[in-house]
Amino acid sequence: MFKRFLPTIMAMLVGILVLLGYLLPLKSLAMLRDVILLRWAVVLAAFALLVAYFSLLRVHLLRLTGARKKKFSSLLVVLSALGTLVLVLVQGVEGAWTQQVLAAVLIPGESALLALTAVTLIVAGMRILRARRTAGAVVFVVAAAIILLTTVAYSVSPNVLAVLRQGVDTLATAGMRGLVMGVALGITLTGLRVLLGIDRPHSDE
Amino acid sequence: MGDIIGLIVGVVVTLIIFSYLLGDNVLYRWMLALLVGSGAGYVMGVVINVVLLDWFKEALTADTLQLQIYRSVPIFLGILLLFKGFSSSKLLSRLSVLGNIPMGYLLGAGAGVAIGGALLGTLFPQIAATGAAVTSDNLWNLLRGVVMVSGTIAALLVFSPRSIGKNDETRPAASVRSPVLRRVGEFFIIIALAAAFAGAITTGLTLWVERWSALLKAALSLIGG
Repeated sequence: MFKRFLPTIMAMLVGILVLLGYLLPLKSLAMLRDVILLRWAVVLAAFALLVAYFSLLRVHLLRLTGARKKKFSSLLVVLSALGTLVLVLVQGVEGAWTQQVLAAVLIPGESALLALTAVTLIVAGMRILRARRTAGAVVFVVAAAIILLTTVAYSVSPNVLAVLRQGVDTLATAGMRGLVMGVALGITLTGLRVLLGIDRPHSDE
Repeated sequence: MGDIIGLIVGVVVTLIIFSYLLGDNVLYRWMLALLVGSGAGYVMGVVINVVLLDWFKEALTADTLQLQIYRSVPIFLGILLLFKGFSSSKLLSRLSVLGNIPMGYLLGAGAGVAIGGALLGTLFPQIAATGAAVTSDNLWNLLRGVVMVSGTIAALLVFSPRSIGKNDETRPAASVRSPVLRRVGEFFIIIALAAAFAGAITTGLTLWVERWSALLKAALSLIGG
């Protein structure tokens, strides 16, 4: 009853009502979707985040009590997670120290990690031809090089290599549209399986 | 004073993360742990402040019965959802099944939004844009439009379950038999992935320059007092 039946009925009912709110041009359905169903979903998502947060703490606390290595990393995760949470709750989002954590730790740290990705990607791109010299790999590297070089050339002289860039852009847009449409079709089918009760991930199935 | 401390902390965080270029090291791993913890704490704090506390306050101050019910239902479902966190506890694991009901709600709402977004926000506009590409009067643009339509269709067919290789037992009876068509589709997909790769490098390099510029500015301001 609680494991399968009620959760499946809930998923089907809510999902179909939300979907009808998008597909049918009825104000009452749109209101039901926006004011009730999705706002409740936002509050529930906040509770789900709470579960995830406690799960993160539990995993690292268990590591601290176990006989494993890397205990100091787990200690850092637990202390920083609790410390930042207390800081945000006490001072609020706009608090001076909360903003300091955001500006001095989170933003520089995450920007530096993304910057590191660029270096890693360039190294991976240079290694790809050494690892496997197939036609696909050659096309990949040549296309990426053309896009990168024409990006620089545009800033130097907008007319240089413009036609070449347009050609590559056309091919890339076509491929990307195919991918995006494939993903959209996949999402639709997966969603429909949930709405029709064929898949029941909420019941761990 | 707070600004200077913030500046120094930002510089230290950046340098420790960049130290990964010299090889995986313990300081880098500790910094990742710190970022994961403080990121999780910050997001949780913001969500509690902006979503949960406001909703609880409004539930307590609701003056009509309808409004009280409206505000209380997600709180009740949310409390049930918290039982999902007890699935590993021997004593409370039986109650974790109650969390399936709000999970069903979340998944149903998510599926409804995802299907609506995929159909109305992606599929229909992309089909319209692809079709519009072949309506140009200009010959060059028309040629580009034809290439775009053929490329989109070929790339889409590569991802069809019908084009799975012969060795796969789940392959349906009918399939995209033309290897040429599959090759053409793969060619377009490779170009699209190369464009995404180049975009990621450009974004990363922009951040790389921005970080080094921030480090330089911090060093200059510390030296200059």
